[in-house]
Amino acid sequence: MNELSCSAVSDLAAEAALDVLPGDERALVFEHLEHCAACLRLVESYVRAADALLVSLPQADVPEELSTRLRSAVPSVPRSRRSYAKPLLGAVAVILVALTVVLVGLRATSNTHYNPQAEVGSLVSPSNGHVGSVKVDTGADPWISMNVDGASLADGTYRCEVLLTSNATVTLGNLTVAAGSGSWNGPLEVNPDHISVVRVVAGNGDVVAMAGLTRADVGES
Amino acid sequence: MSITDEALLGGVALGQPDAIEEFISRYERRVYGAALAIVRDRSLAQEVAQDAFLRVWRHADTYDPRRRSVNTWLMRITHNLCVDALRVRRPLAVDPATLLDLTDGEHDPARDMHALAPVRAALRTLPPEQARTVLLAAMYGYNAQMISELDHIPLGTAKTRIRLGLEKLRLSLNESHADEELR
Repeated sequence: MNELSCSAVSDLAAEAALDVLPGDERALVFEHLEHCAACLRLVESYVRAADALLVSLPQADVPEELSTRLRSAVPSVPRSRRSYAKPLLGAVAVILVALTVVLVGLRATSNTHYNPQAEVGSLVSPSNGHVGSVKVDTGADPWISMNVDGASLADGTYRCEVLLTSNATVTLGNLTVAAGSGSWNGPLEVNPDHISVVRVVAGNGDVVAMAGLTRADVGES
Repeated sequence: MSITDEALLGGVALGQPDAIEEFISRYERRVYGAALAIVRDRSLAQEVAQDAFLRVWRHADTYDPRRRSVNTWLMRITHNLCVDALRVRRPLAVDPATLLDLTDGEHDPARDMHALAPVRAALRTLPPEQARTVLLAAMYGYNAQMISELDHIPLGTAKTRIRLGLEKLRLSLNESHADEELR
C-alpha cells in the first residue's frame, strides 16, 4: 500500500474529517494519522469545525405525537448492562495511554459511519407507494424498528413479520396505526442475514406493505 | 442548579426514569429541529428523532465525555441517522439557498447566543460555492464525486471547495474560540 505524504494528507484532511472520503483513500489517510501527530491535529480541528456546524442547526417545536412516542418508546428498550462508570474509570487509563486513545478516538470520531451496522428499507404499499420505513440494527443484539406515516394505511392493528430466505415467516409483533401513523420496535429474534423481506400484514392476512433491506452504516454508538 | 448533561446521561445509562424524562425534555427540540433541518420532511424527521433517542438509550453507557460534549455527541448521532434516512429516499432536491439558511433557525438564546453566533458568522464569510459544498458534505454526507455530479463541476473542483471551505471555517472558528465555547 502506498504511503501518503503529509502534504497529500493535508489535501484530504477535510474530507476525512467529514467522513466523505472513498474507502481506499480513507484507509491511506488513517494509516498516515497513526504515526503523524501533526496531521492528526489537523484532522481533529476539522472535526471540531464540522461538529460546530451540526450543533448550530436550529431547534424546532416537537409535534405532540413525537413527544408521546419518545416517552413511550424509549423506556421500553432493553439496554446492555455495562456500567456508566466505565468511561470514567477509563479516564485513569487514558492518561497512561493518551496517544493511543487519541488515535483510536479520532478514528471513531472521523469515521463516524462505523459499527454497529444497520440495514434499512422503505416500506412500500402496492397502492400507496412509500408508507414508512424499517431499520434493523444488526449488532450483537439485533433490533428492528418500523415506522408508518403519511396516513397511507387505515387506522388499526397490523402484524409485523419477516419472510426469511428459507420462505419461513416469523411474526415479530403488532403495529398500531392511529391517525395515519404508528411505530413498533423490538428485539429481532432471527438472523438479520436470513431476512428476505419485512412485511406489514392486515388483520385479514393481506400484505399491505413490504420492504427489502439494504445495508447502511449507522452513526456513532 | 440544573444537573449537567453528562450527569443526566449517566442517569439515562442507569435507566432512571426521571433522568430519561429530563433528557428527552432537554433535547427533543434540538434533535427534532436538527433532523427536520436536514431531511426537510416532518414524518421522516420524527422517525430520525425517535431513532436518535433510542440509540442514546441503548448506548448511553458508551458515551465518553473526553471525546465530545453530550450535545455534540447527540447531534452527531442525529446527523448520521439523517444521512442514512436520506440514502433511502434519494435523489434529494437540494436548494442552495435553503442549505445556506440551515443554521439560521430558532435557537435557545440562553445557551446559543454567544456560542453559535461565530458559527453562523463564519459560514457567511465563505464564498457561496464553498459554503454550499461544505454544507452538502457536512450535513448531507455528499462526497466529492456526488457533489461533482450534482453541481456539474470537475471532481477536483469539488474536492478543492470542500478543503478550502472547511479550512476557512476552521480558521474562523479558531479565531473566535467558538470551539472552546461549544465544549
